[in-house]
Amino acid sequence: MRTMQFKDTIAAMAAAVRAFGRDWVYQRTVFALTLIFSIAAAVTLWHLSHLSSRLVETGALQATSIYSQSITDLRTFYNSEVVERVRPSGVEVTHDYAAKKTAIPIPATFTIEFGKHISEKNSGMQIRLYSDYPFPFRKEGGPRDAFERDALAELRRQPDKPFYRFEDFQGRPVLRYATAVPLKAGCVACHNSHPESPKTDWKVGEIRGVQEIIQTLDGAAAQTKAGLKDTFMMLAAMGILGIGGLGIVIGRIRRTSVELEQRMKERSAAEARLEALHEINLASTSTLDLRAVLDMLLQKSDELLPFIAATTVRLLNRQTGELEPVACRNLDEAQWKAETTRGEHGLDRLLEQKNKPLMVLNAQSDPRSLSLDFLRRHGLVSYLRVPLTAQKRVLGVITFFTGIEHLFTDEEVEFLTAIGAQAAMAIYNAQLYQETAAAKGELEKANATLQRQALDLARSNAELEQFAYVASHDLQEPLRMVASYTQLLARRYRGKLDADADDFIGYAVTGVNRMQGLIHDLLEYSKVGNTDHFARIECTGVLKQALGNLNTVIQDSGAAVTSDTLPAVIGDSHQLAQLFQNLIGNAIKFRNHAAPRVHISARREHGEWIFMVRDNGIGFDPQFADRIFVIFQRLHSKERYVGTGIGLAICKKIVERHNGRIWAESTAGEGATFYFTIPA
Amino acid sequence: MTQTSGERPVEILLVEDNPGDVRLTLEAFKEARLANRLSVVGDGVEALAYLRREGKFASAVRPDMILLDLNLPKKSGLEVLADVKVDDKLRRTPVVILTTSQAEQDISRSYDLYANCYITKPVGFEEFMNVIKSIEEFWLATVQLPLDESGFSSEFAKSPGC
Repeated sequence: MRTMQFKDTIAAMAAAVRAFGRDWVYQRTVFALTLIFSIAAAVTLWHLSHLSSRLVETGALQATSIYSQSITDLRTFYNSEVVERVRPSGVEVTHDYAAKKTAIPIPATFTIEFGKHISEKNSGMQIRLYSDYPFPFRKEGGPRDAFERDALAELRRQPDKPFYRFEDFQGRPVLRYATAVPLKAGCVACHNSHPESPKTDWKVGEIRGVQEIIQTLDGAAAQTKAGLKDTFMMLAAMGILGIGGLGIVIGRIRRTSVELEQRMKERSAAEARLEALHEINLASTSTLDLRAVLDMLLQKSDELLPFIAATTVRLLNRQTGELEPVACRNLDEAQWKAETTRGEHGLDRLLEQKNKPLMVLNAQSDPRSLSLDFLRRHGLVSYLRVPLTAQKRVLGVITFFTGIEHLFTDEEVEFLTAIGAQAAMAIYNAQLYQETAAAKGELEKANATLQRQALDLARSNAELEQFAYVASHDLQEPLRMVASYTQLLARRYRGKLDADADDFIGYAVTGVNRMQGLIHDLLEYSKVGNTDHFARIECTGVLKQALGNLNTVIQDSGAAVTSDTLPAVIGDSHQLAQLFQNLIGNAIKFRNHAAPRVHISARREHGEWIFMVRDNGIGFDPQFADRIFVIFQRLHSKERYVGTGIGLAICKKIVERHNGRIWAESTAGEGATFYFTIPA
Repeated sequence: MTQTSGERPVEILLVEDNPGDVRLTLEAFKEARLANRLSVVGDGVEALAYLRREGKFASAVRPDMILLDLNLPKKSGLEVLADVKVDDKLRRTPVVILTTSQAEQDISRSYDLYANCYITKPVGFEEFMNVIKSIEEFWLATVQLPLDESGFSSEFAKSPGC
């Protein structure tokens, strides 16, 4: 377990380091490039300097070997061509030739002198000859240092291979190039015979000594150094220029990428806001519960704007004109409600006039709606108050508080205003819904009452019809008794009793007849209401039937009944015949002195047929236009116009059973027109 | 007038519970000068007993025609009608339904049960008298009825003036 944890920790650390490395390289590109370039330059310079020193050494070695060879050649040439030729003529060959008139230097001396001469001319070069067996007159004829000793030993071992070494000599870098000097045949005798010779058993080819050329490398090295310096300068200049340019480019790229990143951030923030608004929109339309809408809104704005420390919603009470605390987020609601300053009368008007968000940078110095103490306790500093406006009506305000002093940016204000608008819409809908629901409840109640009443009415109507039917039916029986016996009385005893008896019998008979008519009509009236027999009816046929029933009346009155072609309608043929019969009968009955003329016509209008029965009779006062259709209502005395007062009531009932309307128009004395409609 | 010489008078059974109607019918016969014998029973049970000559009606004369009201105590007119029309001995006797009811249902029901005719009592006396006259003239003078297999024939049908 522990190991695992440890491993995990290590892995995590490694990952962190890797990530850091990546980030570091990414963030310090210029620095890294400089570093890499410097290392490359250093390597190049080192390589160049190495190469150049090698070149210097090789060149020096080459030149020195040529020198060495030339000097050797010169000595050999001098020995063979000068010394050998002049010796027989008595010219002395000595190392001490300068002090004598006719003497020449021995080859070694010649070489030494020549070397001196060259050294004087060329300060960078020295030529030395030395030997294990130097002549005593030579002060510096023996090996002087480690190189010379090494050279003597080495060349004795391998005479053909020059011995050289690069080293510091007298504080200067030099190439020391040593070659063996073997004794030639012409020299052995002389060396062996010379009085001062330290060795007299020389053989031909034996190594007499060493010829060394010391070539200083100062000049070449300096030149190389200068070259290198130039190269370095150039490289440095190029590097600086390159890195500078690169730095500018990278800087620009970085700036661009930073800008892009910023824009991306802004954009994604804008998108997030849009999405939030959309969500708010969706959510706020998904419920009409005001409290739920508010809670959801507050939650959304809270999620989206983390710097919002608290949000409050206050709604305007239209009756009191006060802003009432309704909902809040991240605050103790009860406390907030208790401590919210009421009043702010006239704020609604102010809000309506301004209707703009209000930003307060430091609410603690400007506590308008909350107590200072409350603000301090909850650490609320800045706020933005957005009016909630819907349908040009201020519903309230939503206030967004921040915990630190915060200057709301234009974007934030815009977004919060949008949230406010959304909230306002949701609140408006919810309020509307509440009102509507209340109204709907009332309406439903009223509707239920109405329905109950309609049901009661229908029941009582049915009962009434039933009653009317039964009553009229059962009334027939006693009526028949009264009528029959009254008539029998009249038949048997009229004229046989006194005059009063005859009158009484007469009144009884009249009354009975009237009652008979009433009961008959009442029975007819109660029978209307059955819609079972509805079918497509040709009204022309129905009219013919009605006229047939009225035949006697028409003939007796001399009436002229005419009609246009009538349409077919859906209805009860018996009832429609009764309708026509009653209306035409009425028209004939209420005639004046002229012969009655009745005309029946129909026209189609707004999806229904309007039937008209027009007469030239006595008409009626328009003020009674409605009354005439009420059962038992009569406009005239029974003596003048017989009737039960049920005829038009039956007509009205029939028309209403056919979903139509009936009315009449008239001017007293100028005839009347009865209208009724039946759906087409 | 309906009396054939040497033969018994035409027998009519009136089944009617309302004394007013009974009297009215009698008066109508009297006013119309119809000399038929009119026997009267007040309910359906009695009517059937009479027709089957049961109990106190053992010596009853079988009627030539029945005037039957529908609204009767104990046994309704329609029940009496049904019983009569399924009775082999009674079914040939013409049954005239004479009632106050104008109900379509009563009319159809009656004819379904083989009533010979259905007449609604008119309200006035004159009209009632005319109806009685018509019944008498039609059923007892105009139509030809079968002979009664029991022996006492309805020869009156042929009698002139009926």
